[in-house]
Parts: sequence; C-alpha cells; structure tokens
Amino acid sequence: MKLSRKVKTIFFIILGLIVIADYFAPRGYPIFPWDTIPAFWGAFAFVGCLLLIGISKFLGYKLKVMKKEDFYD
Amino acid sequence: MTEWAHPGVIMLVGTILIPFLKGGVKKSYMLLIPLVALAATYYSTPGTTVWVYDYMGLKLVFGRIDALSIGFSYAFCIMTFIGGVYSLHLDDDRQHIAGLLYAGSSLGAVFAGDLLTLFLFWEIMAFSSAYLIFAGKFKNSTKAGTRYLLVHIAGGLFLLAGILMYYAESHSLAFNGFTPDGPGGATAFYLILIGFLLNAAVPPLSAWLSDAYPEGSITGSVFLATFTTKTAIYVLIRGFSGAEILIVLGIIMTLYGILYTIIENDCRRLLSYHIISQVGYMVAAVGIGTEFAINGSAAHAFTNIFFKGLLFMGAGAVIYVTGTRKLTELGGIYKKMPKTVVLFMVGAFAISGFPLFSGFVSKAMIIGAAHYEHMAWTTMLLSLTAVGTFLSVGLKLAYHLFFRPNEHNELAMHKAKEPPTNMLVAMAMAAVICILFGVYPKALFSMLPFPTDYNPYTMDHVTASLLMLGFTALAFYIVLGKLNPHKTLSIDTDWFYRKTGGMFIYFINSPLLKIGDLIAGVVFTAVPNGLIYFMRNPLGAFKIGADTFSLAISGSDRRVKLRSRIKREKAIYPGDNIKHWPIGSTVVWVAVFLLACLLIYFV
Repeated sequence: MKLSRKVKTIFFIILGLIVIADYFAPRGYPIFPWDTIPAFWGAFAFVGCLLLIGISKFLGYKLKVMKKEDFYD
Repeated sequence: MTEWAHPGVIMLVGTILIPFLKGGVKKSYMLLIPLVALAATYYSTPGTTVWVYDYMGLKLVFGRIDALSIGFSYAFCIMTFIGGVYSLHLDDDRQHIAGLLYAGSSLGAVFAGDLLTLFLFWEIMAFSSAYLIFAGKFKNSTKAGTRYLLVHIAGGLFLLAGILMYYAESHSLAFNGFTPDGPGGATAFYLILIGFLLNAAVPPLSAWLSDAYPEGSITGSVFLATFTTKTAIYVLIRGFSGAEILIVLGIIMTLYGILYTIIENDCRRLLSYHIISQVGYMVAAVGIGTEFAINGSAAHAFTNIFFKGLLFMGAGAVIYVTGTRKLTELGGIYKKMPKTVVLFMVGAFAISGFPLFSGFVSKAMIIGAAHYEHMAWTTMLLSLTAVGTFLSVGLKLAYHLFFRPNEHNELAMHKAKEPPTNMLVAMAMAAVICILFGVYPKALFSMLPFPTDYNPYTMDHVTASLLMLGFTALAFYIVLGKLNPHKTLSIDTDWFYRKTGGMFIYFINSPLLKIGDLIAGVVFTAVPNGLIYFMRNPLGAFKIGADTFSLAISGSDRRVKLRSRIKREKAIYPGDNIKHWPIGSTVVWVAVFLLACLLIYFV
C-alpha cells in the first residue's frame, strides 16, 4: 500500500498532536510509575505490535503451527 | 406462578408456529418473537424469584430475576431480533427454528436459578447450535459440527458430574457461588468450572470454537458468535466471581486468540479467534471479582455481542456475495460494496476501542478494574491484547478483506456487490448500538448488575487510547508486507482429537481388527475344521500324520515313495473307515485288556 505524501504528513501531524495532548493531560488515577510518562502508551503499542507479529510468525513458521490447507484431509 | 412471562420460553414455544406460516406473515412473526421476549424482559421485576416448581422433591427455579439476568436478557433479545432481520432473506425453517431454540435456551440458562434447570437449557443450547453448523453446507461443516457436538456433550457431562457431586453433599440444587471447600469439595468445584470454561472457550478447551464457527451457516454464525460464550460468562459471574485462576486463564485467552488472528487466512476463523480473545477480557474480569470488574465483564459481554455480531454479519455478507472465505482470495471489493465496508468498519472500530465506540467504554472498565487493584501484569497484558485487536481486525482484516489491491481473484471481484437489504439493515442496527454505547455510555451502564457513575472520557484515557491506536497503525504500515495472508491453516488443540482420532481409527481398523480376524480364524475356523477332518477317520489321519513326519526326517531315497503314499492316502481320505474296524479287532482289544487286568491282579 503506497500512501501519498499528503496523507503521510497529515497522519504524522495528528500523531504529534496526540503526543502533545497526552503530555498535558492530567492523570486521573496514577498507580504505576509509567502512568505519568508522556506518550508511554504510544511506545508500548509500537513495541507491542511488533512483538505480537514476531511471536505469531515464530509460532506459525518455527513451531509449525501453520500447515498446508489439506493438512486434515 | 406469578405474573411473568419467561423470555426464553416465549422463544422456545414461539418456534412451534413457524412451519405453519408462509410469506410475509412468517417473516413478521419471526421478528415478533424476540420483540415479545424483549417486552417480557422489560416487564420483569428485579429481585424476584418466580416460576418455581417442585419436581420429585427437587426445587426447580426457572425465573431468577435480578439486574444481571435482566441485562443479559436485553442483550440476547435485541441480538436475536437483529439476527432475525439478517436472516430474513433465507427460506429455511429449520435454521430459523434452530436459531430461536438456541436463543431461547440461552435465555433459559440465564434465568435459571438452580443447577438442573441450567443443565437442561445448557444441553438444548448445544444441540440447537450444532444444527446451525451442520446447515453451513461448506466442505467441512458436517464433520466440524459433529466434533462441536461431541466436545459440548463431553463438557456437559463434566458439568453434570460436578452438579451431582454438589447435590449429593448439599441436597440442594441452588445455583450460587461455588468454593473449593463447599459441598462436593474441590472435585465438584473444578468439574463445574471445567464445564463452564469449555463453553467460554478457554484454551486448551477452545478449539471447538475456531473449528466450528467458521463452518456455520452465514446467518447461523451470527447467533453462534452471540450466545454460547456469553452465557458461559454469565454463569461464571454467578458461580465463580473472584476465583483468581480466572485472571490467569483470561489473560492467556486474550493473547492466545490474538496470536492466532495474526496468522489466520479464513476471515471467519480469524473473527472466531477474536471471540476467544475478547471473552478472555471478560473471564479475567470475573477473576478480579470486584463490583467494578463484574460490571466491566458484563459491559464487555454486551458490547461484544453487538460488535462481534456486526463483524460476523459483515464477513458473512462478503462470503454471501463472493462465495469465498479466504483472505488470499479477497481484497479490493470496497468499491463494489461500500455500505458493507462502512458498517463493518464501525464494528472494527468498536472492537478496537476507538473513543466514541462501544468497545472503548467496556474495555476501559476491565483494564481499569485491574489498574485499581494494582495488578501491573494484568493491566499490561490486557493492553497488549487491545493493541493486537486493532492490528488484526481494524487494520489487517479490513485491509485484506476490502482494500488490498486485488490482482489474484477476478471472480470474487466480479461477484462482489452489496448484500440483500435485510442484511444491511441488520448490520446498521448493530452499528447504531455500537455507537450508542460509545457516545452515551449511560445506556450501557443501565444494563449492568451494579450501579456505576464511571466516566471513561477523561482526557488522559482518551489520549492514551489514541496513542495506542495511532502507533499501532504506524507499526502496521511499516511491516505491512509481512502480514500478507498465506494459503495455510493453523493447527490448534483440536489436533489432538482430529489427528489422534484418525490414528485411533487406523489402529482399530488395521492392526487390531487384523489380529482379531486372525484369532477368529484360528479359533472358529481352523481348529474346528481340523477336528472335523481328524474325526472322519482318526486312524487314517494318524497314518497321514505319521507318513508326513517320516517324510520330514527320512533320506532322499525314500522320499519319492513316501510322497506318492501320502498323496494316495489323502486322495482316498476319509475313505471307508468301517472296514478297518472289523469285530475281530474289537475281540482282540478286549482280550488284550483282560490280559492286562489279569497281569495287574497277579503282580
């Protein structure tokens, strides 16, 4: 999927605005140390997303969870 | 009996007339049934116990009416109505009846106040839902439906065994909270728990779901996605609130489902794994067990019924028009079916937890409940699943189903068009509810078991959610090429009964049956035939035997002679054996015996 430069720019501007908003958002009920870190959940999502894809590919290919479609026939 | 009409019984009894009606009357009648059940729910008085019967000394409670059962009843009745609209174009009485029996028995289980009534409706659910899978008429529907039924019968037996042990000690069938040191001890506790967990699709007891739901009929799978797992959540809330093992199981479920969705190719199997994943949130919340967590569990069950129903309806519409379920054969059809795409995306946004959609509210309640209880791992891992949910439904599934450039399947592209109007209307109704719960959470909160004044729309929560969604989208765009679907299937724990089942049948057919044949051949054929042969002329048989023996031990010079003799003996066997036994020889034998007696006497 190729996105045009304009779409990409808009996407990154929105992402930046959310990060800035998160920096100023008052924390309602902070318990854990990371609750107060700005944009923590952005980093979490980015790393977590890659991690999930990595683990599922590992399961699918290395641990042979993925089989040919006629595996049970 | 008090002034109450059981919504489940309305649906069960209502099915009787369906075969006798025709055309428009039948269609309006089928839509009327869930509406009447909805009205009956509306006129129920919370906090009452009605329809109590005494059956052979057992107290059966058909109507335990409180905030929890009423909430589930509302959600089930509305979804039955939407499912009814979705299947209006279908002219198959049996499917309509099975769908209503399934919905009605789920409501029966929800209002059941004792374990026997619960078990009764539990079994009706299993059988009526199995029909919806058989009706799929895909290549594997019958096999998958049979496996589904067998697994559920096994689960029902676990439940029954637990109930009997519980009853044997307590002499009460009352369905309240269970504890490991309650009546029946830990054994009854875990047996009943296993029965419930199987229906909630907790791994490793989850493979029936991802095996059977994709094979169900297009309209039937909308019902399937709604009732079994959510009824299981309901009974878990009733029986196992605060059981800490459920937190662990719930987290495992959420991640287990998500990992499978990323590598899955069949669009409805992908959504089935999302059911497992989303039900994991609810199971974990039941395990946390605080009032807020239970509210979250129920809330997520209600929102999930509608957004998952919507996603299944959207995927069903695509299958209905294109005839294929595989992502490798789909893509690029958004131009042909824009309305379906928009409605599907509402469901995808809702399950992903976009602000202003229903999933945002209910997911926030469950993660919030873990947060309030200072459970760091639970909070983290459930959030990770939220990331994976957006990745695999909101981005991966939507992209490959509708938007990816399609150069691989002209036929699907050619066939794609908007589905029948009734399907679109049903999807629109579910979409409206997804947005309503998101924009006006009080509507959702009014269905919950405990009163709450929770506000999900605090600024930090909204920004945190948007950050998660935004950065997931960024990561998705970067690794897009790695997420292309492949023509594969993913093995799950059903491998154990599908492959070993096959091996077992092979073992029975091939070695075991052959050994059996061999034994039967020796005992029932060779030995009696040999005896019969021998008894025809024992002396002749002895002679043949002796000659054969001497043939074996003699030198080569005598062999030719012996061979021809054996051949001759065999040719005349059994021969005229009477002439070999003249009276004279008997007299000789008698004389020999007398002589022997005489000798013994004298010696």
